[in-house]
Amino acid sequence: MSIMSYTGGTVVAMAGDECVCIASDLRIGEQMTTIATDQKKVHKVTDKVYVGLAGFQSDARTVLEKIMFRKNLYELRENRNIKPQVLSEMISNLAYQHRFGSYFTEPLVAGLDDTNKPYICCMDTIGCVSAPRDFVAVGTGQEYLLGVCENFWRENMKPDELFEATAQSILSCLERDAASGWGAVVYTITKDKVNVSTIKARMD
Amino acid sequence: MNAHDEVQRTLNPTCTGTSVIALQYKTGVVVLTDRVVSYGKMARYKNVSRQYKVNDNVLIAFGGDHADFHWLQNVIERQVLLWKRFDQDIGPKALHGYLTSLLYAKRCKMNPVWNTLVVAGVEEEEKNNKETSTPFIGVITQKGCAYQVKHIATGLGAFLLNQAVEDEWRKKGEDLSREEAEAVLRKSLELTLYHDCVADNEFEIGRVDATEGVVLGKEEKIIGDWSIAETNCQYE
Amino acid sequence: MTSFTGITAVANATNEMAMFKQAMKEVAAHPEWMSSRQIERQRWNPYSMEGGSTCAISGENFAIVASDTRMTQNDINILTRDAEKIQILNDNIILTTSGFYGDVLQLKKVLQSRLHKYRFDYRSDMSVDLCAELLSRNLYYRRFFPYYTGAILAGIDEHGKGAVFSYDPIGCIERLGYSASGAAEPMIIPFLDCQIGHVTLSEGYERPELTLDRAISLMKDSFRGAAEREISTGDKIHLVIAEAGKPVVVKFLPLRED
Repeated sequence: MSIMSYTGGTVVAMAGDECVCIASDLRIGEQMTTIATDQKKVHKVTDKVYVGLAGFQSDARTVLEKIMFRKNLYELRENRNIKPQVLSEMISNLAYQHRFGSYFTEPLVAGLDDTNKPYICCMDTIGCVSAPRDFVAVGTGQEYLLGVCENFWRENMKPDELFEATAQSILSCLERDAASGWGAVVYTITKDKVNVSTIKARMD
Repeated sequence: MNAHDEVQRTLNPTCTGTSVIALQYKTGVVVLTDRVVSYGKMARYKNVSRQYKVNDNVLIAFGGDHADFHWLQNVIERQVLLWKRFDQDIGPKALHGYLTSLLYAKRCKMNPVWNTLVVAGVEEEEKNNKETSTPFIGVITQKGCAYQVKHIATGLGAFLLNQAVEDEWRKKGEDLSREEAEAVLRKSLELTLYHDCVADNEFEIGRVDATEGVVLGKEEKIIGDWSIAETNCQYE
Repeated sequence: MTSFTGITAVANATNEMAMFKQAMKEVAAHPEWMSSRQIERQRWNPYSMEGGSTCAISGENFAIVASDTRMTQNDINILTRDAEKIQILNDNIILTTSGFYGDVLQLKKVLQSRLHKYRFDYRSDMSVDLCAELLSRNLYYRRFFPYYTGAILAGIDEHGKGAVFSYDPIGCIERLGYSASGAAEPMIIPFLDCQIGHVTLSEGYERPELTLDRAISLMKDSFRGAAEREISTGDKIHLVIAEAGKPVVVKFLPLRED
């Protein structure tokens, strides 16, 4: 079993009209054994920028610390909130600095920039960024998610539609991916608020 | 199976032929092969035909190990004679099916026939009625994976030429004339020549036509345009 | 008498030669300077994957089967754009397979001849349940040199209901409402789970029965989605519709060709 699927976990993000949705499952395992059922893989960076870290969770934690450190430094020096584009570039740099001994985690950034334009991106373990306009998924359930998202995503979805699409996608994914599960948490980021919903899924 | 048997099998090809290119036209099929058999990257045997006339309706061209193809020629000849005993001429579809089973069976014995075969021919729906005959190209890989196509390039040509040949095919489709089809093949040989280091500029175009039957090609030669070669310095 | 040693000398020489040859063969078969992993890597692999995906959905009185028609080599090179992965075995049995195409052809041939024999013996067509069991046995027969195929058998059973049987390469069999196999299986299955299995719907909600029209449009959607993301799936959808008491309908629908 690859180290990337040792702890399991899936993160997905979708872009809509002036809103983005980012969701993850809640399971952490040691291969086939579930050891925690309340671990969000999505973390708040600023009010409108969230980062998701799938893959090996020990590394994900370390990377998160490093991301927060760099982001804090950036905000102190620049005295303004970080944009998602800048954050993704920063994480990409961080990941590539460890090119020949990489962190086994695939980061995903979702957020709204200062004009409230949605931005989503995912990268591989060494920081190769892919920022499509529709949706991104990383983690053990990536393939399952991409298939469903391909059918659910529409252009310019409003926050409630976007939430529905993201939630349905991740729920369908959790149905088939044994390494993720125990419910999902969905963050819907709009220009004036962030809606957090925890959804019950297959609890196994 | 003895543990030592694998030494005596074609698990590595020795003397090989490269691409085969075949294309259907209105009333038949044209097949192009170059006339070299290589030993690794060396052009070991020149002036060797890689096409085999089975009977008036079927022509087989091969890529891959030459020794295995010689063996296959023998097998095919026997099969043709077997059909003759029942006063039948083997058609391309039947031969394609037979060779598929043969190659698949050999694969299952872990003793593959190291060839990609292109069975080209004209399938006679009714005996001696050329009006109803249809052109046929069937491909078989060494693992027994078989399919029918309208146009094909095997070997390195599969990477280099399939799309080029397909584009030409799509322009005209079934209405392609023989001359046009041959022109496409000549052009595509030129392309393999530039990119495939074991392809040769001496080639032959065989054809199977509904009225003329199998016509084996004569040896031809192209030089191509090498003026661009001077500017290609690989930047290494 | 003791001085004559000619024959033993020759015998010794032949014996030595035989032993030498044996040793040569052994070392050629298992070279000591190569690790077992190296030998394994150099071994000829009898399998290859030709990509593509297939899917089947069953309903109350129908079963539909679809596959793409692309055949690839090494997942990058398109061998042909109209390969056949669906076989209509008789009026109510449809077999669809993906994986190693040589095995796909062989499996088709084996089943066809078995069905032919059945027709000859019993003077009627085999039912889909029987054929499903037959296929399972045939797959398991090659347990230690498996057919490298994900097979799905669909059709109309004896009671006029739609049936889909899904297999793994060595003949594990399950009757399902819908199934997919091949390269895009993980992309198609969760979508059908959501839309047909209603797994994301809370308990107590009404679950409408699947109609033929809806099944067909779901099939199209899932293949379009798969062709978008999966490189060895594309070119055309080969759609086969079997309805109880009606002849089998075959359709070809375009998919993206890149």
